[in-house]
Amino acid sequence: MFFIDTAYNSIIKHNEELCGDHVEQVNLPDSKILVLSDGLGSGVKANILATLTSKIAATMLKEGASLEDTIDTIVHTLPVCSERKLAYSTFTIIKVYNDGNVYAAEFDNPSIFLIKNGESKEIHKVKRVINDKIIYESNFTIDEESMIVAVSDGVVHAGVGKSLNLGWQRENVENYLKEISKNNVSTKATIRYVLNQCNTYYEGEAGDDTTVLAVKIRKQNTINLFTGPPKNPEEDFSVVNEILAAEGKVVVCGGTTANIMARMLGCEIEIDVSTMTSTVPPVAILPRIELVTEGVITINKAIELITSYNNTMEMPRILPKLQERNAAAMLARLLIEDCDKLNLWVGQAINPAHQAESFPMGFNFKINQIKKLADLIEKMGKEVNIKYT
Amino acid sequence: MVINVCIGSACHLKGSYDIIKIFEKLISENDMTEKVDVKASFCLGNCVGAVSVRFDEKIYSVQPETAEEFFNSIVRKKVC
Repeated sequence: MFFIDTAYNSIIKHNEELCGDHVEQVNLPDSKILVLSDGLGSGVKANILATLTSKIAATMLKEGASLEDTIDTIVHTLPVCSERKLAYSTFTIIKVYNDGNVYAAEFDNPSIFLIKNGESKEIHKVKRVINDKIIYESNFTIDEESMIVAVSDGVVHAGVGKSLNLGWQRENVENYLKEISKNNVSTKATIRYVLNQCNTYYEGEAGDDTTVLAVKIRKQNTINLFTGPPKNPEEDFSVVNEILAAEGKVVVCGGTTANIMARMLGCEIEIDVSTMTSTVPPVAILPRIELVTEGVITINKAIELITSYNNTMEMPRILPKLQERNAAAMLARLLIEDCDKLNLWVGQAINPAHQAESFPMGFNFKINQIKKLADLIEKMGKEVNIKYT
Repeated sequence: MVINVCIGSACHLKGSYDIIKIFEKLISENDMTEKVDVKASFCLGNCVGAVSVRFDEKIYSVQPETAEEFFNSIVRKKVC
C-alpha cells in the first residue's frame, strides 16, 4: 500500500483578498478525495461558490453518495449570482486509492494531466450528462512514477494582459510538466514550479485566481531531525545509534550536534562555504546524513519560510526564496516537500555561552522554537513526534 | 596553513560571515592563496569568545573590527 501524496496551493487574483478557487481534501482509510473548484467571478462571491461546491462534493462523496446526487445537491444549493443570473462553479473531483486506482470526474475545469517520465498520458474519459451539465468521468491507475496534475483556468491563462497575449496555454503547460517530470519531481516541487512560472507570466499581478493541485503515490517519507546534544553526554552514543537505526532520512541541525554525529560516524565534517550567506550559516556534508546545518538561526529562518509558504498572501513572494541555495531554504524545502512524518530528536544540553544576556537565543528560545516547528509541520497535515534526549 | 572560522550560532551572530570575507580578501590581496586557506568550522567549543578562530593549533577570539589586525600580526607573521 502506498502513501497518497497530495499538494495544492493558489495565487489569489491581484487586489483580491479571498481566493475564488478552492481545494478540499478528505482523507479516508483507503483513499483520498480532492475537489478543485473554481467559482464564477472573483473575490467573495467566487470564494463562496467554490468553497460550497468543493465542501459539498467532498463531504457527500466521503459519505458514499453517488455523483448524480452530489451534483444535484450542488446545483440546488449554490446561490444565484444577481448580475449573471447563474449559479456556477466548476469542479474536478479526484479520488485516489492507496493501491494506485483513480476515479476522476471533471466539469468545466482544464482537463487533468497525467504525467510520467517526461510523457503526458492520455486518459480515457466517458461523457455523462447530469442536470444538463456535461461531466467527464474516468477510471485509471497510476504507479509511483506517475503524477496527476489539475489546474484552474488561471494557470492556462497565465500572462494574459501581461507578458503573453494568449496566456500560457494548455499545451505549453503540458510541455512544462513533461519537462519537469523527467527528474522525478515531487508534488510539492511541481506546484511550486508551476505557480512560480504563472506568477512570472502575470508579472506578480495575477489576472485570475490560479490554482495547481498534484497527486502521486509513493512510499512514506520520514525525516529524523536531530538537534541539540543529549542532556547527559554519556548518552551521545546510544542516542545517535538510535537515530541512525530509525526508519527514514537523518537531518542534523546544530554545530555541536553535528560534531557529535561526526565523532560517532568517525569522519570529518566538511563545510560547504559556497552556501554561506550573511544571514544563514553554511551547510556541511556528512556521509549518511541528508542535511547538516547550524541550529537555532537556521531553524528560525526555516520556520519563517514555511510560515510564509503556508500564508496565501505571502506565498508567491516566498517561492523564489525557497529555491535559494542556503541551509534554511534547503531545510524548509526538505520539510515541505520530502517529509510525511517528522521525528524531532531534541537534545536538552545547555550551552552556557547561549545563556549570556547578550545572546538572544537561549535554551528556552530553542525549546519554544522546536514546539513552533512541530505545530507548523503538523498543521500541514504531517505526523510529528518529539523525543527529548 | 588553514584558518578555521567558527560558524556556530553564537559566532555567526557575532560576524563569522564578515570575518571569512575579510580573510579571503586579505589572502588574495597579499598573494597568499598558495599558502593559506580559510575554512568554516562548526562549534570550536569557545562560544564565550565568539567569533572563535583556530589557527596553528590555537583558538583566538576575533571580531570583524580586529580581523585585519589579527591577520597581519598572527597569520602573516607565521606564514611569511
